[in-house]
Amino acid sequence: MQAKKGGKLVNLNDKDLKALNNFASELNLSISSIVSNPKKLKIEGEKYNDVFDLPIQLEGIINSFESIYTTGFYLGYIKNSKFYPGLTLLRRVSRLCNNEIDCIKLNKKGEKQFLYGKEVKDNIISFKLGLSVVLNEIDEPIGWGIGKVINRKKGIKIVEPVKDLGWYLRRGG
Amino acid sequence: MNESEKENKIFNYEISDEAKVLAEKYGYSDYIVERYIKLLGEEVVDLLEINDVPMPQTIRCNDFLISCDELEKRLKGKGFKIQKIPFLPHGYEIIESPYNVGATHEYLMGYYYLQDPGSMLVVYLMNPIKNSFILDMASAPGGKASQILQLTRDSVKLVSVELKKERIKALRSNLQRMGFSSYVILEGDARKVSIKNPDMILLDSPSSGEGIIRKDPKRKKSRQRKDMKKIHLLQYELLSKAIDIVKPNGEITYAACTTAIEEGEYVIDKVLNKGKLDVIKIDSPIGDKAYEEFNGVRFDDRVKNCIRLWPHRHGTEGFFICKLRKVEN
Repeated sequence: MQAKKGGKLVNLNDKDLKALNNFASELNLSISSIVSNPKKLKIEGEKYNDVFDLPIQLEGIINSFESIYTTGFYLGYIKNSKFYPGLTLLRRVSRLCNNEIDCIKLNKKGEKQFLYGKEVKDNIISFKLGLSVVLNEIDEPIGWGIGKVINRKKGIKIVEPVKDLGWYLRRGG
Repeated sequence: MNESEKENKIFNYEISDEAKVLAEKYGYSDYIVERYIKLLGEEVVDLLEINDVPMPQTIRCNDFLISCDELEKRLKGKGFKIQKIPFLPHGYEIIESPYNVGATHEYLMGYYYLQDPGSMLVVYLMNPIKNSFILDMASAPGGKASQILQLTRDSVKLVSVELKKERIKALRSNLQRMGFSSYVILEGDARKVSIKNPDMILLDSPSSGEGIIRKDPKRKKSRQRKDMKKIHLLQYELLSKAIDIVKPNGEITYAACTTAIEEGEYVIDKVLNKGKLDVIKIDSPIGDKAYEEFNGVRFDDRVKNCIRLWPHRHGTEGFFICKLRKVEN
């Protein structure tokens, strides 16, 4: 979800920061490893806010515009006090996989299923419970997914897609 | 010759029988073919013939995210046959593709952009300077905007303006997909934007699109002759706005994907009349000097320092490219 019209860029309030913090905690990260200068786009009448990391060099000119369509590094959006990560944030967080955080890794078949927006069951190379960056065999990020154990006794795990790179194609650019 | 006589000669030239015959044969509006004849003489058939051959697909490797050698290796590994374009540092032609080049994992990762060669050349000639303040006045779908950010390593302050609602989403999606962040997108008419003193401006102007007939054959007939005046006026107004707001000594790169005099030489000739401007001589690896005269109308001498790309001579889209500098005070 990203805005259909222009708005004003403002600072995040405490509630927004908490939402971002909760998301970072789910990944075992601090908020500072995700964003250095968070801002949100406030649009009259919208129930969600896009969130950006604004490069410092843009601070001055941003304030000179009454309304902007988008800017900076897109992180995701906040709706009902929950943060939903976007695909661009994937690249930033995936650099921390294998070192600072655990990530889900899929084999070639799993990657294909995932990029078609399908649930992956038997093609998981490494697994993490809950929200995670999903990588392909060569450690490239392919989307956000949720690791779930659906049968504890048999140890059956699945990866549910949240947002995958194939989305760019499905939505038509 | 006064301005209205000039305008009459530019927009209302007579159509010869030869033009009518060729227009019928190749499926064009006759005023376009008559202009080709006036500009190219006997070469006109070469252009009409090549315009019936589809453009090869070309891509720009995004070395902000991946080295071009690595991208080349990966695409070759997937069965693509690609070839470096000698005059474009990041340009490749797709010779053979096992599937759609816009559906690879590398594309989705932002490792390349589908962009025509003339369009790529415009930004190399613009030569955007790192850390500068740049305005892109007609930005969607973002090929040139992303190239500016790529060449400057995402260091500039880029303001991208786009009027068309249906195109602005693609602009956003492309800049995000390719990993850039140092930009602001504004929705609106660039003639009304309130920006002061950018160091550089790119105006890749809305145009008749006559330059991309190889990609979109509908352009042979889609514009009526009377539309050319409206398009010319829009280009003139956009360029006048750019001249007003660029900082003293700042540079404006004007480009139009067209072969029409009305959208190229004549626009530049008119803005040069305003004073406070100079044409920067372009040092381009390909291209011809712009025309100094058309149908008895002699343009400002400096117009010849702009360049033209022709499909049949240069293998690109048809393009008019000009670099201007605002004279201090």
